[in-house]
Amino acid sequence: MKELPPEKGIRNFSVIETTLEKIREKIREIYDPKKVHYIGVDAYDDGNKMEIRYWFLKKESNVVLLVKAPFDYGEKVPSISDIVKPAFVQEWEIADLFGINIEGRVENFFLTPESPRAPLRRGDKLGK
Amino acid sequence: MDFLLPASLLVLSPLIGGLLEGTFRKLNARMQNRVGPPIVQPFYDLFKLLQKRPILINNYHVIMAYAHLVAMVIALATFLLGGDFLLVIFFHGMSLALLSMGAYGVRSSYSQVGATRELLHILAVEPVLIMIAANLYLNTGTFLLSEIFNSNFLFKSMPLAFLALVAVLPAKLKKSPFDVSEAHQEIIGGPEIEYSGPFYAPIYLAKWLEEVLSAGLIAMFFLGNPVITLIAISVTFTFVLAVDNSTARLSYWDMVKYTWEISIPLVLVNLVLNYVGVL
Amino acid sequence: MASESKNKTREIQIKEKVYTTIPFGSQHVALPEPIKFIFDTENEIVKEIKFDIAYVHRGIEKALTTMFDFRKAPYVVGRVCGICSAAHTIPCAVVMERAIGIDREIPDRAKAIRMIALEINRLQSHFLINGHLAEVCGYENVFMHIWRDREMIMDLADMLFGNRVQYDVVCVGGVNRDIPKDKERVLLDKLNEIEKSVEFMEKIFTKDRTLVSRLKGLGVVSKEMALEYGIVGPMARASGVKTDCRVEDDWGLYKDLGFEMVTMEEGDSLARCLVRVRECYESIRIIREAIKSTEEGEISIKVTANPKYEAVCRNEAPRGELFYYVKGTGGIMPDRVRIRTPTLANIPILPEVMKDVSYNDIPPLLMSFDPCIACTGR
Repeated sequence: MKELPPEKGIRNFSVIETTLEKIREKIREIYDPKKVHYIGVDAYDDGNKMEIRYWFLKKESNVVLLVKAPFDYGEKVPSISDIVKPAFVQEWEIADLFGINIEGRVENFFLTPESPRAPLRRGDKLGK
Repeated sequence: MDFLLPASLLVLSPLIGGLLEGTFRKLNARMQNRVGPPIVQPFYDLFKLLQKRPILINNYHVIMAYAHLVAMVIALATFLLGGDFLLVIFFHGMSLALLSMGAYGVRSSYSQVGATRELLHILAVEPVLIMIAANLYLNTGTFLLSEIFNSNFLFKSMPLAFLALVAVLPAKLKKSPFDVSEAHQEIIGGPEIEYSGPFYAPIYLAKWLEEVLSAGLIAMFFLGNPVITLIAISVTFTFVLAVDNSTARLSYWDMVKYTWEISIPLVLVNLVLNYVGVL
Repeated sequence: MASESKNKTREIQIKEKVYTTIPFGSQHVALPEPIKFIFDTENEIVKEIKFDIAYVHRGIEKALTTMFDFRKAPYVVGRVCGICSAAHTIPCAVVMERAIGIDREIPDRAKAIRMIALEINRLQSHFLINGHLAEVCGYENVFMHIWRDREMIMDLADMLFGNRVQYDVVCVGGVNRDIPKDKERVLLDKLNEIEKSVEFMEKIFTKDRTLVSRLKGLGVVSKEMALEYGIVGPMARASGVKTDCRVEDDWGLYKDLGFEMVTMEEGDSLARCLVRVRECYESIRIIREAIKSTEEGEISIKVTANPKYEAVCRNEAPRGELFYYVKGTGGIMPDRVRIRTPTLANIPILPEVMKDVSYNDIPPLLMSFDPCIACTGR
């Protein structure tokens, strides 16, 4: 993996910051199955705001790429599973873990109905 | 023909079948480089099954299990007491059909799929047995087993028919490659899945009787000298077990295809050879 | 009344095609892991598939940020999966080191021992899955033989690392115990025996007619499909995609030891199985080279700081690419840990591949994908 100089506390991957409205175009721009490997979906909650994160790997330069977009609690997040086909599984997973309202999500895909709701969420707790 | 030997064989058939099953398991384990259970393990299993709490799904389902056993007993009794060979085949097929009818009687999809596959077993095995019966008639002039049993070393004139029988034995005894109706890793025992405890016992017992019947069918070709008969039975069963341990399971279509493409032509060739007088 | 019942019968007749629904899981003999498939079949041909993986979420990501400090993290993630425990502990340790900023200082000996742990882990995992694949094909005999040979590898791990399943030999900053000279010699002897059993396995999976006829042409994944669905590990390599995190990430010494990637073009179940078999040879070679290339010596460095950077690590687990992300804040616990397990990447393609396959071919097809649902649930 290519080493990048640590900037803003980031060690070995590069970041593209965008907004929720533009994230789909951005990913459409970047993603090409032959050159870019889709790694996964992640989310992050710092207590005030949430972030949706998509991880990719540029195959030629071997650099891990993070595309992220911040959004407010309760905001509807677009799905990218029509651009990146396998994305739906992990989108539904983080939708369950963070209580994110992702387009086309299936309830209780990753958690059982009895388990605590949105266990990884920090701020703005969901009601029981 | 004296009555004592067949009658005592019939009475002892559960014992013989159990020991046969135990030997199968032991041999199987040795082939897989395991220690294996003691030879009397099937009897332990049977008694344990009878002690278990009965869980009834529906009456029809259980009645069919007993009917399966009864039909198998009739088939075996007809065989040992020297009845009509066609009747043996009929009751054998009927007992399998009863098992699959019982399996259709519950809502488990594994059971239903298994029942369909069980019917395919009948489709694979029974025609070959009927062809063998026809071949026997050509050689001995009768379907009556009491007269067929008087013959001496039928293998001499029906070697291909015997090979055909060996080829369907895996399907008959539900051994790999043709254990499609049990298919532990696909449908988890198929028609037997919903039977438990004392209601599974008749099916378990019927399996032993089926093994005795198969031994009888093999013996039919090697009558005359008891030593040769025993050797033939053990060699054939060892061969079937070796095949069981050296093949993967094939699909149900393969089963029907192979038995029809290999066994039936084999008997047919034997029939023709017998007719023209070569064998 | 009569007309009403007549209408009813007509309704039943009009009803669309009725499929036989076969549930597969959440507990099934062929796959003793909690995933549930519901197949709608017609003449045992699978037409529609639904699946559910909501059974074993254990909250390990959350536990890493709220309960355990970063030094304990590798031991916690070792419990994510019993089969690929070492494959989890290594990237977790590496990603913590990167977040602290000490990953350049790890001694070579520690890297070599990590590689040995990973490759032994891979060997036993590949033995396990190939044995299991034979079993679900109805070939119990091969299953028994392969799993007996697997015991040899487990005992080897026991001898080297003190445990059969959870090695826990890797820690943040290096490894916990060295491999002394006498054990190295035993290891090299045992590797010869293991190589023989790999040869036996290869012979079975290439020569045995029934097994090959079962697996050949089953569940073909073309190269385009593999790229499109982003599948990873032996499944991708069996379709001709050149991807292996052992050369793509640099926590180990793989590049120095001349790692060779195993790929095949067919993309069917047999190819997936054979890729695993051939990787076993490569693993054995790597272990030998790793022992040869380093001497007994320093095995760990002292860790004084807490994780403060954001870092990622990609590791090649037996099932494929394993992705770890850590966001450190300078505190004793990281702010966020993300684990993306290989099975999570391989699940989306399953419904596509399973369509129009006969039900009796489903267990081998599924096992050839080597799903690990305990990993997926975390």
